Amino acid sequence: MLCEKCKKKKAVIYYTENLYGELRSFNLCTECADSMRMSGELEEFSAAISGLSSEVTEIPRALPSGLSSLSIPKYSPVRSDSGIKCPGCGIGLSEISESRLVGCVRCYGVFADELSAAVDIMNFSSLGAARKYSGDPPRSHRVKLEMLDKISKLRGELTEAVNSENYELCATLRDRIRDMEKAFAIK
Amino acid sequence: MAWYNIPGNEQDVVISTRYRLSRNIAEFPFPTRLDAASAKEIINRIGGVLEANGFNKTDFSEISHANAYSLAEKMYITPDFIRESLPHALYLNEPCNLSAMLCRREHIQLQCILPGFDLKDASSAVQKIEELLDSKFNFAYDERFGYLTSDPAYLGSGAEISVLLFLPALRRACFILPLSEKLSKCGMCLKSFFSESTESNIYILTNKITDVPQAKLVEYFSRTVREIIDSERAQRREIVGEEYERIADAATRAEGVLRYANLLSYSDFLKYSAEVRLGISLGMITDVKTELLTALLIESLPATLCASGDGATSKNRSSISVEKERASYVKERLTA
Repeated sequence: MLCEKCKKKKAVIYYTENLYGELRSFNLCTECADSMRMSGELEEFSAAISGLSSEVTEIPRALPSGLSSLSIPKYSPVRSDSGIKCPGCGIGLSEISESRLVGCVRCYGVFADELSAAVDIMNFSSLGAARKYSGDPPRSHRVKLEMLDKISKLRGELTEAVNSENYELCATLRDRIRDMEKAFAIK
Repeated sequence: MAWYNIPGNEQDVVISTRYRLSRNIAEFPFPTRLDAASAKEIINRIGGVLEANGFNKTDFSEISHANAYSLAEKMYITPDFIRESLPHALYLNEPCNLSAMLCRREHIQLQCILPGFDLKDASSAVQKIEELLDSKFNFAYDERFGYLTSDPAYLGSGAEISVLLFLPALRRACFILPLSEKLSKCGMCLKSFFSESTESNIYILTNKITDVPQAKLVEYFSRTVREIIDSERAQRREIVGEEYERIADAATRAEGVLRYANLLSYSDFLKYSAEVRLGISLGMITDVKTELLTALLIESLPATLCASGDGATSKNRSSISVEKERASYVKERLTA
């Protein structure tokens, strides 16, 4: 198995934790594990790392099947500034890396990959692009989801109306969908 | 009455439970990129809702230095909040257990602090205020990351839990290091709370993982704290024979120091009050209540001590006069 960070060298360190009932694992080469520790990328989790030395084990010959299929996207460190600035607040990756603080909501869209990778490191998760928060969303988001659900149902009805050539209903449904999309600025 | 003046659950082991929730308003940049006018607008809008629901505003430009630091010592705010250059405000409710820091690192940081171990009540009290604000404002949220925060360490639920634990028996048995290593593997961090005195035997347990739902976080954290409480009590039961005699002697001597000292530094207070606290839980001392020691833990901190006295700031006072005042305050509270 290749190291899940550099994807080049052979992974020799298999680190697994049971965090809040979820098994989260890393398969790393010694260099990546050391460099992550040395560069302070894991300093938010220094306590966990201090326990790493006692917990690391050589990868067993046969990994449980679920673990070998783990895929972690290429880790791009937040500190390498690509020159891109957030259009919302003007912050760049180097500033985020320095202050460890994000500027605005839009930063999470602009630097989604980098921030997702950083969150993976901090939370010892390996979700990457597949990340999905499992807690309750706020009211505004719930309303938006309900609205999206309604729009999708109306679209289904519209398709049926088109098929049955009920053009009067088509016009009504189209207007309702347009109004709802306009109200919630959903493109 | 402030949280530290009330007896709490499991107070022989747990001193306090704090639950904090970070939320941001989607329409505004995070405080790091916020201008003063927008910060004032956020404070006015959120503050208005909080004031209508029994919270009182503390304006830092109107209170003394000692009073501001005293709020940090009482754990309602973080010390960096006082020095914040952006307009900022604290809202505190009447029983003084729920507070909201506005425009610190995040737009809103709601917190509940309760004596002893009461994570369920603390989290539900905060969630109630959160629901109220959620009905009036658009919180920054993303399906992938959860609640968006300025500090990515709090992404997800945005919840920070901290519990102050008194673990003298686990420390005597040299179990703190293995325990903290074990806890770190469960996404928690156990550290000595007072850097100036490890003899206080007071540790702070916090969560380091936030990308799990609040209910799950509370459930796992509670289970872990219960396990720590049980281990500490089991170790205390192991104290027998000669060791018991020595601890009883140290506890009564420590009570004597607290009752009769003329000068008392805070680190001395921590050391002696820890011995008395253990003495109470082992039944060696019966005339001092655990909740009084918790109250003194806060009330004998320099800014709170000065704020409750003649109002002079701790900066203007020599350390000997603060030690004298602390000794007489502790003496007075113990004899009352």
